[in-house]
Amino acid sequence: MKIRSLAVKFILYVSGCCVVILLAIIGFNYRFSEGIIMAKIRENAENLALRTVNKIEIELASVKKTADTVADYLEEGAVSKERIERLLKLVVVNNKELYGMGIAFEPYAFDPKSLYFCPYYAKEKSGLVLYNLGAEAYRYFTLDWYQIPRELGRAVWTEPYFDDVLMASYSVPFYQASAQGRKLKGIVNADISLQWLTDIVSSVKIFKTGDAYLISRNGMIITHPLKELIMNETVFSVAESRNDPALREIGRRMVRGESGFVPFTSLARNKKSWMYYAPVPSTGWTLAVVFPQDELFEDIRRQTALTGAMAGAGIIFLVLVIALLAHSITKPLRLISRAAHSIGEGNFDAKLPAVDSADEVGRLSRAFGNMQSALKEYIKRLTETTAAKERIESELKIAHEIQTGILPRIFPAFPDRKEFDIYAMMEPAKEVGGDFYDFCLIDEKRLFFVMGDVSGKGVPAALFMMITKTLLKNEALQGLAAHEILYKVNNILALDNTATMFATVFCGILDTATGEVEFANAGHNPPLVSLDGRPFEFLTVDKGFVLGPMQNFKFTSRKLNLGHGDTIFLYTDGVTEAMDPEKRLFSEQRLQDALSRLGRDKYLVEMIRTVREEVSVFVRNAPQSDDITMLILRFN
Amino acid sequence: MEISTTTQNGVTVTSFSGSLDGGTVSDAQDKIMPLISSKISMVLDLKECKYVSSAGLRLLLLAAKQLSTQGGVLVLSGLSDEVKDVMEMTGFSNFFKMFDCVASAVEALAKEG
Repeated sequence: MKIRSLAVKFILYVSGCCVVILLAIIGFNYRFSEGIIMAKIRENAENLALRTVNKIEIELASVKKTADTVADYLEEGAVSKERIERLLKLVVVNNKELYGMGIAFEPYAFDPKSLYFCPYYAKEKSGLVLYNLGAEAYRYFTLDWYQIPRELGRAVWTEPYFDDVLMASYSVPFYQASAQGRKLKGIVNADISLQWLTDIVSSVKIFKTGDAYLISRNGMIITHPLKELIMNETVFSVAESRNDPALREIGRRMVRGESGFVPFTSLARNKKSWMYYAPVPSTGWTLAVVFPQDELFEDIRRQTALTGAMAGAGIIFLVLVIALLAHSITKPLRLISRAAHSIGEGNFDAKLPAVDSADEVGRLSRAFGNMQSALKEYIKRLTETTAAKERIESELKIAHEIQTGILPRIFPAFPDRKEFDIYAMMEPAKEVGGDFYDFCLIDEKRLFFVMGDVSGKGVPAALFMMITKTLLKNEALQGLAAHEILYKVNNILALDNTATMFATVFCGILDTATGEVEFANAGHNPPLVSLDGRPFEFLTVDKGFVLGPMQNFKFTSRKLNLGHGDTIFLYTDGVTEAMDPEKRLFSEQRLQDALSRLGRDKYLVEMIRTVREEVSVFVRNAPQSDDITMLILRFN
Repeated sequence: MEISTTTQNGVTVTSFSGSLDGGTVSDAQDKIMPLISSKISMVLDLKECKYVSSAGLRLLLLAAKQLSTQGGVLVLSGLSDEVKDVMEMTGFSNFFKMFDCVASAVEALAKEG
């Protein structure tokens, strides 16, 4: 599609460029901000996680210390059942972190008669409760919390487990020193409810929907906002169900006690997130904090949207400004275009818009104004010239009519004279010409005939021709001989011939009774004659001299006898010197051949028309270069 | 149409090439006539002229007249057969001295001068 308006073109190009530039800037800015935010988030995540881990560690350390102290006390020596119970009660009451604590003795170690001895104080909802654990159904020394520290010979944190509540235990073995060495007496078991750990972890607030999890040594989820996951799912089982090898690898790293910052899909909300995980060193657990990605980038998203909106508004403003500008620039152009259209339709007075600015539009307008006035002037002059030309043409047309009118044109010219036939034609190259012919009866017996050619063509030649022809006829009618006619006419013409015009003339006088022709020549082409049945041949003439330039030239007359059917053909050089496009002349030879082919019997009209036709065929499309005149006379 | 002028032995030789007819004659007149005003004798060399019309003859006549008022003469040289025929037919050959070549024309004029 072609864009038809400059304004639209400007708007498209400029606003298009601006949109591209702004998009590039906004895009780059977004990416750059994202990078900065990621770095910050990572740092924050690390701090947050470590702080939380630290908090947990402090709590756990306090539990550990309490249990260790109790174990140390028990290693001092035998203590009564009451003292142990009082100690336990004191410790449990005074340590808010503890859910419960028990002291489990080796079988028969406290009382040689009793297999079990394991007093245990627990903080239950109803209050502090003392249990004496150990029964056939609860052989405590077979359980993990007892067996693992016993076998390892050191204190351990157990994996979390359910025992009424979700808990984890810190178990410390204590020994009795004897001569045989240290002998295990029992295990101090401090239980913590994981509820308070959950509280600590839950207190970690991450944006609006972020959360934190605690994961056990085996990858078991210990705390989580979704209760159903706790103790039911591991990192590995989640990885399995999601078919997510990356998560499985993260799980492995967690179990190995590493830390890291990784992309992650939130378990609680199934959203794209980032996760920072760090180990809790004393228990070998892992704390994971999860940041929902969309919230991380919410600010820059909002900022980008705002920037985009501002850019959009800016572009709309730009478009409006360009539209106004383009409109104001093109307004004079539109007016000029309208004026040009009007001028094109011929209204040269169409008003051009007044633009006085010095810019291109102003220059165009002024140039256009100049063109308009030049055109107006030109058309005015052309109109005048055309009128003048038309006047001259119409005058020439009238002159043509006058000129052809003075040549005898009615044929047969002498219908009642059977002794001879005569036919003639003149065809000027321009409207008027310098050729002429004439014939008239001087008296009953004698026919005067003449052909002339004035030098040059057009109006000057025509004027000279008119004079010459008139003089010739006048002198002929005086009854003079042919050479006398020429002599007289020449002297009259030469008298005031300042323009050095001249005319070639051939004239003759036919005695219609005898066929005798007396003729004289003033530099004219020799006529062709057909005598005694012979083909046409050139008549021998005295050449004389052209009429006009020189006074007192003596012409001479010759005589010729025409028999019955003998024909004389007069012509001007317009015939023999007719030129074809290659500037070749028709020539005397071609004329002679054409006439000879026609023979003696054809009608005179037909003969002249045929010669004229042959000339036309010869010159083809070349313009007629000279007047063409022919006269033919036959004696019967 | 081309016109060139040289001076040989004090005689102006004007060479005309082309066709001396109604189309070229006014141009030729404008170029030849000014040459005459200051010169006494002139050879007009028509070796390269193929055609002379009646208007051309009039120019020759004008030039000859102009020269004769200043006491000079116009002679022609190098005429082709066609041009010579025209000169013969019109009787101009009686009034113009004609030579076959420029050299003989110049020689004749120099002798007279």
